[in-house]
Amino acid sequence: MEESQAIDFLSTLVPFTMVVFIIAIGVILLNQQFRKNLLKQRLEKDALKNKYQQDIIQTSIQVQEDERKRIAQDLHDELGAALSISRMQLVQLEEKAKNEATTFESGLNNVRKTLENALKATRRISHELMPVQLAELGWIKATQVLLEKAEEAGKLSVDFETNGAIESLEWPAKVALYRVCAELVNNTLRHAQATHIKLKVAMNKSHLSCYYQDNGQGVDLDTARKGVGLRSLEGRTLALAGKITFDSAPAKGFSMELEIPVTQRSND
Amino acid sequence: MDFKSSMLITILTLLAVLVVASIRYQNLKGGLRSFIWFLCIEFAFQTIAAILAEFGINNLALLHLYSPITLLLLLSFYHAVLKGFVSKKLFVSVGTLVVLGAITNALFTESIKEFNNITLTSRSIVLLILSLSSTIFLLEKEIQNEHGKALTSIHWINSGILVYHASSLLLLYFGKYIMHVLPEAYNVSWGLHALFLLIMYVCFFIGLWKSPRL
Repeated sequence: MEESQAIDFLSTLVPFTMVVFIIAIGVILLNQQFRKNLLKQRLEKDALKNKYQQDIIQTSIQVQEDERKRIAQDLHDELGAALSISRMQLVQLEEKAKNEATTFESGLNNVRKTLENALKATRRISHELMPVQLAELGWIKATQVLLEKAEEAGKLSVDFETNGAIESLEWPAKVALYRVCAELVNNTLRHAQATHIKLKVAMNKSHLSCYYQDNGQGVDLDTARKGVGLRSLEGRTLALAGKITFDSAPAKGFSMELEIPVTQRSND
Repeated sequence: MDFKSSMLITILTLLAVLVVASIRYQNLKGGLRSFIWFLCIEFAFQTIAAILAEFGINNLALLHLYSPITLLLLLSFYHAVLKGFVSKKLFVSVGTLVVLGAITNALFTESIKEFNNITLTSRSIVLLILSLSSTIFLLEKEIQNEHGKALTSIHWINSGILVYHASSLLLLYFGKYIMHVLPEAYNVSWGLHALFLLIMYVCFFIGLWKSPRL
């Protein structure tokens, strides 16, 4: 009886061991296939990420080039033209002054007006390059002015929250953050048909966070990402080793969340 | 607890799982949706088997159908869960092999009036390999990102499948020996099987209950 039980136990144990062995082999082989595909996916993802970063850098360069081109055109068309006209008027005055003293005064008046226009153009170009409020009054005031202008231009209400700590941010980060806000406000005014903008900026010892939201018609982010606007924002954030995320859908408004690490702080 | 009561409890638990599944169906995606089909077929088979048993009719023929069909549905669930990480060809090959094996087994080895040990063992082996591997795979962040909030549900369902099939394989192999040594243990063996089946359904219930809501 005992021998029969032993045989019976063996005839159960041996196939069971084989089954466990098959399961173990199956798990190992499946694991190998999984790891192989996982590695392949990770490599593909890295390649895609690299390509995307390259695209962002290229876009940033493109934006810079476009900006330079625009400045050059403005200088040529507005300032250059005004100065050329003034020069011509002065030449004419020189000639007229020899013969008619009466037209001298009105001629000078024309030159003054032309030079005033040139001065305005210079101020505008310079202001567009670097808002005077940002350097003189600081980030908070400059952003307030920006939002007030948006309120006037777009007939919308603005909710702006921040703390004073932001003024101790490094200058390049401050400029980049201002540019990001300006670009977002500009996008809202141009495309969103929004009635409300919310901007919340907070900074602590380790990082700065910025949240922007409008209640406009929203965008399809896949389509919007192909354009220069969002990529330029991503490029600016990337340059500061920050993270930026967008959330939007048609008819559901637009929001952006940005986080920049604060490693160095100056007292400017 | 007698055999009839344990059968009734498992069917009622499965019915509760189906109710949760039908409530959450609109919110489910991919793998979890294909899993609902498995639950429906499982419920149909369990109910018919219970009715046949009640009238004293041999229901083992049903088991020959149940094993390959439910395996195919669970393969479809695992295919959806591991999509992009495990080749589709592998699932198709395994499914085809098991179905062909089940037909061959029913025709030539274990007749439809007998217990289909071979098919059930093959089914358990395939599901154990998949559930064991998935437990490890689900820890990878790529898979976690892929499934997002549905990950908890998949974990519970996978755990249920793992627990039940591991225990049923043990019972399948050692049940005969135990019954040989201790004939009175027959009911204990069936009771244990019913208990693990119930545990699997409870895992499914929790999994579907925790599925993402809109």
